[in-house]
Amino acid sequence: MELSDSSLLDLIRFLESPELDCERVFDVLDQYAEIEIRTEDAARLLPFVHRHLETCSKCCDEYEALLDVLIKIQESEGNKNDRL
Amino acid sequence: MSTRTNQEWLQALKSQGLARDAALEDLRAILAKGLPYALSRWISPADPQFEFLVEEVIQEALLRILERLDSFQGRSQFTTWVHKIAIRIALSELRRKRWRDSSLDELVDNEETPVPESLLEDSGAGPEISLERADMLQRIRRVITEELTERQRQALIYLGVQGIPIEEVARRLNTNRNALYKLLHDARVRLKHRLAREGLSAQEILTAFETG
Ligand SMILES: [Zn+2]
Repeated sequence: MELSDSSLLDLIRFLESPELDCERVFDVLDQYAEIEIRTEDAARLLPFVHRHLETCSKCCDEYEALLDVLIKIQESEGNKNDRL
Repeated sequence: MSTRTNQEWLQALKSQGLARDAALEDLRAILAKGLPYALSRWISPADPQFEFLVEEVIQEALLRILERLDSFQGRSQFTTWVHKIAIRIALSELRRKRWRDSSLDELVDNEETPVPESLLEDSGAGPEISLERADMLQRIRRVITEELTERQRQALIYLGVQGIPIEEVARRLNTNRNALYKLLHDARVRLKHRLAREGLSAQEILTAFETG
């Protein structure tokens, strides 16, 4: 099957887009955030995620929001346990 | 609210009837508690839109979670995975809204709306440039045929040309996401290297076609 000119350009554009990396990072973002919360070294265990988060604001926003949620939930559960 | 192991979440959500309803109800409550923490970074909880946004995102997230249960790999707590999906929906929703608002402002400020670039395409491009482009396309075609396996080519066409979601592409190619990423990574590296040897870069190619 021969690709049309515009399909060919779409393909090249896709190769250049960070989209692929974002998807790959999103796949493990939950795991990464949990490792970070347990104060293990997420950056060392999943270096490609760390590198991507440093340069991609979209993924970094998602990551920081997820961390916020995990931390706040942990805090609120901690408080509950303190009261018991 | 009961606490469940990952296995119990999956089992309940994949079942029918009461167990599933109860699990969905619990998920809704978990998101209703967690999501506001994430959103308050971007929108004040006092904003009248806030509650509406939370509700909208929860609805959408529950649907997406049910659709994607099979892609949960158990590498985190199920609820963390659930929050991740809801956050992505929430942020794209916020971006969409903000974009809509700001583009409205721009319309008011700039009376002279610039013509979209795509409409200007090819204007001012002389015959030599067209020839140059045709030659470029020919070379790219050859590079793709020579460098990529049939499977790599197919994956790139599904994702990059047809815009099929990665999950579905993995299914069609009878593989999993991780293997697919690896395959795409290899394809990307091969193409980049070969294009570089041909004195071409993807950036250069795109510029040649996008700036007329
Ligand atoms: Zn990204």
